[in-house]
Amino acid sequence: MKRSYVLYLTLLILLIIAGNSYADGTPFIQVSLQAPKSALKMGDRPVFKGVVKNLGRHSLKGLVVYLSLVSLKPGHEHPVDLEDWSAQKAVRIDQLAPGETHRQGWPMRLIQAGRFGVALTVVDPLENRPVVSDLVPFDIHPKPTIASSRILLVAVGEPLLLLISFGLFHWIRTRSARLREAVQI
Amino acid sequence: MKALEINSLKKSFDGMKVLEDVSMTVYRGDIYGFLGPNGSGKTTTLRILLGILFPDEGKVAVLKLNPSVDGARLRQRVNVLPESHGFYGWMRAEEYLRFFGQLYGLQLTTTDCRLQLDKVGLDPADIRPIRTFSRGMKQRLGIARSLLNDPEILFLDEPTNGLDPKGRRGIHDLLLNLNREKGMTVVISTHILDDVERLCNRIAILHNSKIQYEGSLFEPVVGKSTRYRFRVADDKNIPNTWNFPGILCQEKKGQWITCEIKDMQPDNALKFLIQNGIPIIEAIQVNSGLEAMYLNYTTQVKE
Amino acid sequence: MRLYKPLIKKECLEEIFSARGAALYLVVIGVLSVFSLLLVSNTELSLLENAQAVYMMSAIVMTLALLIIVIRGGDGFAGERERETLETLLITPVSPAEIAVAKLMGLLFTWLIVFVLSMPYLWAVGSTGQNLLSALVYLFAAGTFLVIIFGGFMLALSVRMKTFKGALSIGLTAFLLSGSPILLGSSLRQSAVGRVVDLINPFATALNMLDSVVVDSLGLLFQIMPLAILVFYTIAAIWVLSMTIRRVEL
Repeated sequence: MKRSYVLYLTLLILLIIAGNSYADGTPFIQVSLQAPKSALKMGDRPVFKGVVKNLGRHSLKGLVVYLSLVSLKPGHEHPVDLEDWSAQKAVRIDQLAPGETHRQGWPMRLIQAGRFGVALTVVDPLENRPVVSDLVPFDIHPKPTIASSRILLVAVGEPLLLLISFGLFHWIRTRSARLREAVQI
Repeated sequence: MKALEINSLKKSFDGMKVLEDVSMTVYRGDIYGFLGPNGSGKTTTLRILLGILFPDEGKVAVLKLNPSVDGARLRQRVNVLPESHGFYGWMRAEEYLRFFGQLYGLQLTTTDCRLQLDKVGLDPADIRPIRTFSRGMKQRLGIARSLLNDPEILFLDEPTNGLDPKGRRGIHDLLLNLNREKGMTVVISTHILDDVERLCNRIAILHNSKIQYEGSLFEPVVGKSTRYRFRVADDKNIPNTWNFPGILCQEKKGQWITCEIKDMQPDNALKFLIQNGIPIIEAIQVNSGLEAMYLNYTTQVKE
Repeated sequence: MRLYKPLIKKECLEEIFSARGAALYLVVIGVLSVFSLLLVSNTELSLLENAQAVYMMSAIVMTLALLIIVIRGGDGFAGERERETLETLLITPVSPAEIAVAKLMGLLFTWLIVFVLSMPYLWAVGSTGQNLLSALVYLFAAGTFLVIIFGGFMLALSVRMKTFKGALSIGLTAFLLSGSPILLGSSLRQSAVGRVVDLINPFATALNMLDSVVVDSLGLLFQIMPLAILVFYTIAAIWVLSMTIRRVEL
């Protein structure tokens, strides 16, 4: 009899601890993010597909979902401000029923080349720990753009050339008139 | 022989009559003064004579051509110095003359241009653009342009505008020479009566849309005497004894002789003197009646 | 024919030797230089495809050229009237029609200068991409048609208006109206009203043609309709000018 009480007590304690652990490590929200399959280059406008699923038995209300971008260039890792990259920074899900899935496209304008990672974060106002998807790494290849050295040469050189040409025209015109004058004399 | 003839010319602008029954005749070799107050229709008449404006009614013949029909052919043989004439400021004087010469089918050389500029008192060596010219210089350049095609009739609208007295005299001499040596007919529209007295042999006065007077500058002088100043080619040509009945020599000064002419038409007196070996190149009436005549005809109230 | 030569020569030389002519060309290359520098420095513009950049540059070139044409066309007769040089021309054996032809040739010379000035910019922007040669050919062709159209109508307006200011205000208004549909979004331009407006607007027609050649790489067969519209307007402009020039008032 005494042995069974100890066993039940131990099991109860273990259950309580495990229950707490389960509550911490196993969220009721499942979030995932998928990158486009094709190779990406500067100037592209890919759409990352985000999925948020309610795994719990209760409806979730007022969920806030947002995208985060980091630069993964070795030695230059840093968070990237999405200001110029994406117009859509965060969405609010009013209600997510148990078992319901919310799918959202996250369009982005790739304005720099390099290695980046993007993740989707879901915040439940009733929980104190946000749920984050796996970091999705992707590479953006540089785009062959306008040759800036040529542009600079033309943009600066041509106005100068035109000014010099006008000056030359006037000088030639005056000089030829003076030459004709000298010949006449 | 008639250089131009206008009969019963009528022209209105927006219902307003500018010319009403205008008739006038200019003969070959005339220096014809065309007088009238501002807004009387002188410029309108000139434009109709050139074919750049078309009359409402009337017959116009210039060098036997109808300007409305043969305008381009006519303008090849005549030339004009309009009252308001602009210039292409970026051009030089020589370029300007060469350009207008080409419009008359002339390929002017530098020497030709220089001669033309020299003739009107401009410095041929001046290579500044026209926009830097003074008003007087521009007027001279305009006159040079108007002489490019050796016109049979030269129309001048206020030709001595902006010229100083020396410049005016230079232009007068030029016109008199052209008239005498080439027989060029000159029609001058001007307010300056001095210019008319010095240059013209016939005049017309336009007022109230009509010609109020047309005829000789020398008014009938039967029973009257008039005083004239004659300029001779050389003062050596003035005889020591003066014995010309009806023509009394009152003063001799350099090339100028002041005479009183009695009971004789001044143009007859002029012919008489020339026939008697006095080479007169210019005649000016002293205290002429032109101003009085002009005022008399142009102060009539419009009917 | 002999009278055209000195008149055309005068119109062309005035472009180069007058201060106003020089200033307008400096403005053109100033704008092109600024746009070129933006193409490399501005984030948005630097991401443009080469073809898109060439098309935008071509559109700017055409717009600037037409602006100059509207100004010079308006000055054609009205400006000469104000400067009192028109009468000096009319008293020569030259006819008003010959003056009009010479002025139109002068406007085409202006277009030639603007086109030549813009070629280095187009080369710098588009040499690494597609359709640069087509862009140049169609830009020159479309620009020539538009210069005759806008230049012809402006010269006709200039004959009728007493002042340069009057001709210019009407001309610039018409020019802005013809350019305004381009500011409409692409969805509006695809609508029935947008298509009709594009059809009656030679400026929009020319830009659409450039777009289809440079960006969409469509060939000559697809340009027959736009070219026909431009030819129609060209003939109309020449006809209007010839009718107007019969009576030139001082």
